[in-house]
Amino acid sequence: MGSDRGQTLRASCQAATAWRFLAPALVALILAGGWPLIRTVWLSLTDAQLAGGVIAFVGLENYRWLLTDPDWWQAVLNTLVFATISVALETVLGVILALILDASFRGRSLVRAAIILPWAIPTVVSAKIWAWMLHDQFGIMNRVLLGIGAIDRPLAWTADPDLAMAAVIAVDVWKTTPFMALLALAALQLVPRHCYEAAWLDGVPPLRFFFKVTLPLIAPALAVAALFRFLDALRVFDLIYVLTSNSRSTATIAVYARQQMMEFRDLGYGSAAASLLFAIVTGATVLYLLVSYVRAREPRQ
Amino acid sequence: MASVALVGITKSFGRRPALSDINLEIRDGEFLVIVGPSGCGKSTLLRIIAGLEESDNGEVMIGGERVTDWPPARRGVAMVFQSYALYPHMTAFENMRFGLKQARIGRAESERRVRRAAEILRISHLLDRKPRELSGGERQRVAIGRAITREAGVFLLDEPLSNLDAGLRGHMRAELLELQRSLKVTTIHVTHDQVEAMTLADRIAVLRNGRIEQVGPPLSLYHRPANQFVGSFIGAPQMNFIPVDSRRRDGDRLTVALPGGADISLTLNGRQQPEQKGLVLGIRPEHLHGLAHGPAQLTGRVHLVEHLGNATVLHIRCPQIDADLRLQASGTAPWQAGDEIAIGISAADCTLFDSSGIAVAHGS
Amino acid sequence: MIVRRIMVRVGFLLLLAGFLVYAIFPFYYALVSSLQGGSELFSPTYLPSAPDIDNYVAVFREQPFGRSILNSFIVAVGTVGVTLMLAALAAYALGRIRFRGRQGVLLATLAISMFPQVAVLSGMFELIRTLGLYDALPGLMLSYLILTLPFSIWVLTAFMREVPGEIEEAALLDGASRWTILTRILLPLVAPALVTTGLLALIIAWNEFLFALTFTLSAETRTVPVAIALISGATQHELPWGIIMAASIIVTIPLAAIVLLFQGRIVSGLTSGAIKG
Repeated sequence: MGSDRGQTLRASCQAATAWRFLAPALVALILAGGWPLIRTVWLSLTDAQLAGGVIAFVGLENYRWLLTDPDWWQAVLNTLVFATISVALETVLGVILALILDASFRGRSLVRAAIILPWAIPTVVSAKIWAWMLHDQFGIMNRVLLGIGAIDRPLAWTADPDLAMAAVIAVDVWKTTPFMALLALAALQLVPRHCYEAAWLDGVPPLRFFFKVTLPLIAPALAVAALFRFLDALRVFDLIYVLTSNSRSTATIAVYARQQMMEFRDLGYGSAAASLLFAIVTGATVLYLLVSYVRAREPRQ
Repeated sequence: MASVALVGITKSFGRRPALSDINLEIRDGEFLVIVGPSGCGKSTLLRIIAGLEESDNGEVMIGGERVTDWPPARRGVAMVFQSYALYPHMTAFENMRFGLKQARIGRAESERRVRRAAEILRISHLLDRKPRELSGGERQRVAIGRAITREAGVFLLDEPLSNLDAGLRGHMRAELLELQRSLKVTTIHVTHDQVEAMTLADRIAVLRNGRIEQVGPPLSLYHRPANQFVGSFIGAPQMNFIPVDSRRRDGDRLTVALPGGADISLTLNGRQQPEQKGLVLGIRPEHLHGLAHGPAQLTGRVHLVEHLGNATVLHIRCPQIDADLRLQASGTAPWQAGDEIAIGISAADCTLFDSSGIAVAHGS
Repeated sequence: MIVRRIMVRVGFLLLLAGFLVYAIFPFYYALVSSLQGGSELFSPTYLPSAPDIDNYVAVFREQPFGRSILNSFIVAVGTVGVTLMLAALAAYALGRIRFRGRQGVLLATLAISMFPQVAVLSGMFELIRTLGLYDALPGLMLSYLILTLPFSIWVLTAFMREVPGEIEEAALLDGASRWTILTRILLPLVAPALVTTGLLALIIAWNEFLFALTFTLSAETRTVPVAIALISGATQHELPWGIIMAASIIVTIPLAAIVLLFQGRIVSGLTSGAIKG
């Protein structure tokens, strides 16, 4: 008569195999992600400098400095303004674009490819191309606007602190709307076709149909996409740096942090800024998860 | 070619018991069919034999060797899954050859085996196709071919005919039988279809709620069911169950009274006296006869008539009996719905079940 | 009624054309500008009057742009290769084996994908310097893994899960080892997911800027995005826009080709990955 083996022998043997297969990827993730993050947080508690040398533990000193630095708060404001406005615009435009792409017409895949291109190129390239178009002296944007009389003199879109944020948001919208449009399109395609047919038969005007039927149906997926895009936008670096470099009026938290680390060479201080960004993004994620968890538990209305 | 033995197999999934103390011996070359309703544990049992699941207790023996701790590949079994489980990205040929490659069998020999199997199954012209280019029946043959090429000692079939259309199913049943006879491979076939069990098996094992209810040749189970469950599960239309009262006992003869008063005399299986209460008489539809004249054991009114062409099934309502009686007559029977009918029962075809469902007496 | 139909149709086409112009015009303009020599740039126009490729030549002359392209290529392909290998192994465990801690690993992977790049910057900088990989392409590849590995693991795990369990069992009975099952059965079956993931990882690695800017120093090690960002002119505030536009077009063409060829895959990869994420 055999002994009681149960599931345990198989289970532990399976687990060992599983961890063996997982090990390489886990090592890579720890090496490329986990460890550097911990190190960054640790560095934020020191007075480390970029060149190396002796490191002294300073506790929360860097953070205290950070919270009294007006440049830091400006960066936080910039980040929030940038993320909120650009995501809002991208979502709205994305939905409109998705509605267009949803209709089938000849050459649809070619159009789709053309629309994706802004997303596919390096941010640096989009920044440079738009920087040229927005050039104060030779830019075509100024030319056109002057020509139609919208402005009376050439504007320094990227240099003028009052306009720079608008320019940055405009470029980000150009670059990221395709992505939101694709997500909105995916959500749209989950709407059952017979809804459209029934409405068409009933003679419902398309605009009312959109707001009363389509929008509520895609709203959940769209909200999730917008949220992820928002969390993404909080971390933005490339666009700001290349388009407006370290300008105070557009510097986001990431730009600020890197500037402190690499250009002011204060590794500890910059790490503190970076750690705070991590905390903000994580906090927002956890908040979202909690809310959606609680929502899922509530009974449906 | 190998015998299979199961000794004290037990298995639970969490708190739910799936198999309780299964003991079974399958002879070399035998075709055993394990049959039972959904959820009875038959697939689990098959998977334990294959080595895909581990039992909590008990041993699995194949060819006299204790294989309980052996991995599936080492046990020398081949399995045909319900969904066939063909590798979608390989051709039929590659599907059938895959196991041989793993066993490091040489190219020439592998090819010979695959072609031979393909010939037996008449799929030689399909070898270059991928599974999605094959019909259900063709896929099933490839799955069987995969089992044949490995020249395993035991074939395990997990409801292989369930996914086929009714017409194809009957055809494949015959082919399966012929195949097994010619290959003489020990085969364990799992199904919920009692017709498959009756037609294919050398022996049938009826499983219910993880326990074996009865094992034996098909006709044994048919004529001498060990309990009410086996009696009702095997055979279609289903066996009739008529509540009866015990009247008199003489030695090993027991007389019971049908509702309506008629007596039936039966031979007791064991020595003890069965209880007086809750006795049930089991009789198959084809063993009820509509009488034109003569003394009837039961009377009733025809409620429903089913014409099958080669037979007629009458559903009859009798007073004092709750459920309809089913009577099967060959050809086209003259009764119609609403007719009164007199029913004759011969004691020789009856089985008596006690209140717990166990057969305690039978007609001689 | 017909008039209404036509109006709707025209409105639709106008909107479509509007979006197309919005998306493509900057590229067109960049192309035009890149074909304009010297002083011509100072008068913006829609059509080049005397197109010449001087700027394109200058791109390769003024800096080791060819080298940068090679660097980008090496880093991108290397990153994709390593990512797919690691992710495939991990996805096998996460998608086909039930074990305690599976949910934890998946959550951890998701969490890591939320790390801001700048939050690992100083830690990574220190690590790369310690390993002696500063200003070297392998260092870059290592840092890119945090960008490509998490979503690759998620997508491949999802696809691995969808393979019916009976196929794996049939392979087990056929005597295949776990490694054989992974390489001969599972990976061929999830090949489309591998292609999609590879494409997305390629685009991400190719376009990456922050790490490339911070972890490379010399012009010989730079990747394309950094090279373009650092194109400078003779004086402080005079950027050679013609050359910059030429470089931009050079980079855009292969990417446009990839998008055109694989847009179906890219789209499905983005939407499925994002929705599941």
